[in-house]
Amino acid sequence: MTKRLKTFFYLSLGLSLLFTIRLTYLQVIAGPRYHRFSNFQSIRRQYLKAPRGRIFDRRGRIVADVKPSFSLSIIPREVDSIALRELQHLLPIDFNSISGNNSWTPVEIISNLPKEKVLTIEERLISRRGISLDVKPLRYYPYPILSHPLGFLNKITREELERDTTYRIDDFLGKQGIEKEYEKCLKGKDGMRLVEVDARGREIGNLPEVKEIRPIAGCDLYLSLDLDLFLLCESLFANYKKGCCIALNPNDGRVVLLYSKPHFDPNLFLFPLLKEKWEVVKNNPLKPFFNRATQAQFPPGSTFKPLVALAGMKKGVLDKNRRFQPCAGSYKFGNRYFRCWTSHGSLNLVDAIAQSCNTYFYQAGLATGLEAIVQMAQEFPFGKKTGIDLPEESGGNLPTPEYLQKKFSGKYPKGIVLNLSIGQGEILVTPLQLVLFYCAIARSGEIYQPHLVDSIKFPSRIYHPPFLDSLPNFRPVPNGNDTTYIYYPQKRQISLPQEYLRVIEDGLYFGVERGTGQAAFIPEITICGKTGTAQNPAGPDHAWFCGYGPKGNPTLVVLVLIENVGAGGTYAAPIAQRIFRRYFNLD
Amino acid sequence: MRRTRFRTIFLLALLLTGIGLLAIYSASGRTYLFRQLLWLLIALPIFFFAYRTEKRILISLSPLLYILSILLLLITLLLNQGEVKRWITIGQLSLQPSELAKVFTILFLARVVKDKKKFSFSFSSLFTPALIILLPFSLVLTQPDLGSSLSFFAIFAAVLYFKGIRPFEIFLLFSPLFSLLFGLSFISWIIYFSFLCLILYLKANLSQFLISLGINSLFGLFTPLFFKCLKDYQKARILGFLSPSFDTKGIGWSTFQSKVAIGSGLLFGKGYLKGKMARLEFIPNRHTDFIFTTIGEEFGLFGSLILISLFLFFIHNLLQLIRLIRDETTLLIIAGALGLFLYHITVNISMVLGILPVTGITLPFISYGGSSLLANFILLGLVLNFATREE
Repeated sequence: MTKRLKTFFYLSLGLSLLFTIRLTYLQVIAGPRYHRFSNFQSIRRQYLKAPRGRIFDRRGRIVADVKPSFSLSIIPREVDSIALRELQHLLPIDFNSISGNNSWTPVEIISNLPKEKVLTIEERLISRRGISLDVKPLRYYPYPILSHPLGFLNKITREELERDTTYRIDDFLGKQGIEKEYEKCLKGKDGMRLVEVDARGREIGNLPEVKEIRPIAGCDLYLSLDLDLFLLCESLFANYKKGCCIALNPNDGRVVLLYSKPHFDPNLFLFPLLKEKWEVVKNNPLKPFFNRATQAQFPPGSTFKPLVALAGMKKGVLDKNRRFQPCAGSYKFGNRYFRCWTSHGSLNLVDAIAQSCNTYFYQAGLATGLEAIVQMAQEFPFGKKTGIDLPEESGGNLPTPEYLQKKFSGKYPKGIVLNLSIGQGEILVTPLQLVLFYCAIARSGEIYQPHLVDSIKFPSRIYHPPFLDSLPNFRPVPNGNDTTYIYYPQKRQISLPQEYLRVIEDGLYFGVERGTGQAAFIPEITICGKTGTAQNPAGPDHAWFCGYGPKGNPTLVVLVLIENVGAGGTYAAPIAQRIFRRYFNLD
Repeated sequence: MRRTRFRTIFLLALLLTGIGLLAIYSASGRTYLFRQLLWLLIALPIFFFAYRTEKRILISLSPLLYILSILLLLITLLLNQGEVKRWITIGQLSLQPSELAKVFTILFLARVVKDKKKFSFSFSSLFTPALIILLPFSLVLTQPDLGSSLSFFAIFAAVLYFKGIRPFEIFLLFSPLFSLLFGLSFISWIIYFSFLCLILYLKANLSQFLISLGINSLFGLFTPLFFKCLKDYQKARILGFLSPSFDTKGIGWSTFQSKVAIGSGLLFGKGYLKGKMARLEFIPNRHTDFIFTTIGEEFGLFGSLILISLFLFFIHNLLQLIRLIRDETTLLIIAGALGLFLYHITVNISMVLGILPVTGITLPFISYGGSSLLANFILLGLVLNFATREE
């Protein structure tokens, strides 16, 4: 036993000796150097900005890129007033941020300098002490027409900084659109290195002991959006001021087009020097930041009629052969005349949809009743957000009996239901909600969640951010050296008898073939669709068109909305036709 | 004689705890000091309880205590969500069951090993004890806490050593584990394997030779194959697990800071409460795992060496206690305690000095942490109880 005790003791003694040697090295031999480090001036942390993830369209074209950009920093302690004055001459700089600051730590004055300024500064000022130009990766948007789905970046605010401590004061942050929704994926992880500086604060070199922590680029996003369709839309909307256009695949909810006019230039926020320009954009009465495709709320007009027809058929008051009192251009209810846009005579349900006869639907709506219509609307994504992967979305408004009772404090006028039957009055829908309704018709009651991001590609092999596991509806697929997270479409089924949907589809088909939507007709492909002309107290009508094709095996649903121009069949349907043609490569 | 030993060991523990309190106050301020004091107030009565209770009762209770701590470990795993599952939180208190599990494992292991009539380096002798160790080991490993889980092996090794198993045999027993670790890099495994072959050639009999070589090659070759099949992020997790600083702060980052803090203490330190590095938010876990940095920075080489001598003196006293012991259970418990304390002290200080990678292992009696303090005092109570009251 004594031997074992001795061995154990010698083991402990040996370890103590090892520690003594190590401590002597650290505290005596290397001590003075470490002592110098422990005064903070001699070590400076330098952050290495992680490049933000790029964003690609469905054909792999970059729609949000990262470019090296120059930023100007000054060291307050070192810079002299002459140099400062000269700088001020070149750039509209606010020097308040550094007045009174007398440190050796560099302060970033301007990020993302324009090229010509970089050249001038390099020529004239770079030899001055205390002024430095640094290169950093910065966001660049080559196609500003995608500003609404993509969103934009802006400098982080104080409140946001307090909420998330992983950011620093000069960071940019997604403030709208995909940039905001997928901020965590796109951001990446900044690296860091320690540099040794001398007593004057100038860099001597890296610290050999500490490996530099390399920045990790953010994830690349691959969108379902098609840049070509955006460019086409831009030319088709050339004569209109306000409007939007959505196209998506009803078989998986992937959105290929989410255009909203007017758009803005998201690059503006990245250039602080262009402040005046950005003020102009902000104060534009057409509200360029407003994403009309998901945020605008309008009465759907006649595009709502198929829903009334569904509600009526479900209640049993309508079928495809049902006829009402013939249309003579208006319908008298009480002592008021409710107008139709022409005299249709006697129509069955299919033709009433195709010809968009108001008189027919006034009577159909009366027979069906407000509750039944609203109930049917609630089955579809009306009156609530659709859950698209964008932070900006409105819910619209459904005139539920409770809502109306509140608004009219008690009994609401009967005429309300007449207005609702032709999609006017209290009802407000967003273009996205409406397009999903037509997706459901196209897919026999199946609604896929609309989605913009197809896949997320993670570039780094060694770092695995935990948020990737928690992304709902994305599943990892190993792909060579990196992992791709692929979106799996989410759907829900609305239970409706197939024959009801067939009646509606016939109506939509004839609507394009010989009805109000003829401008959307394409000989090669059977398009089904419905026009809408939404009245609007503040000016000319809003033009709607929503349709899908090919009939029987639909692969695209298109919605066009043009504000304040007139009839949907005249203005919106032709644009939809062009988009169908381009999508199916018929041009 | 025993009384003096008892007094020395107990006073040493108190002295170390006192030094710990001073360091905690300097590193993290009053709140942590008060909390640690509170834990001390809880720990001392429990220490005396462990010291006073009759040995017979404690030994007969040991299976129950062992099962209880296993259950606590299971609850910890089930109760917590997220990446790290080490604590059970009840209101303000958070308990780390792995610390208590170490103590009760020692108690139970000593009992089981002692009950074996003929104990030798054989499958029949080692099977049950190995099972007792592997159960808490694997539970703590899944938390994940590699550092703490390995302490069960340290306990096992010490107990086997004092039970008469030769060091070479203990090495053979643990050799597959080394193969597993070295297997991550083929060259290091080849070097290790040649070393193993040499030792086997010199010391082992034929069956030991064949079995060891077989198992080691299996583990060594299996590890890289297995590793290759993993996805990149899973590999990153394993690497991060072996060296927790890997994915959060970068390689060498926290170690460098702790080295700067200690090194800047020079010969005599910056003086109490005057350390800059350890007090500012520069060092991770500065009042728990990295508490030694505070001592090194504020008291210099001089203070650090005093602390290390105190620990050495503490170990020495426990070893001297063994000389007086006739009863085998007591001896094995002290052996387990020695293994545990030596493992904790060595791994913690090595980590702080940048010799070993960063793992969450506390410095006994010094580090902030209720569970650790409680566990250490219970263990001490048991050891002193059995040693002084031997018939």
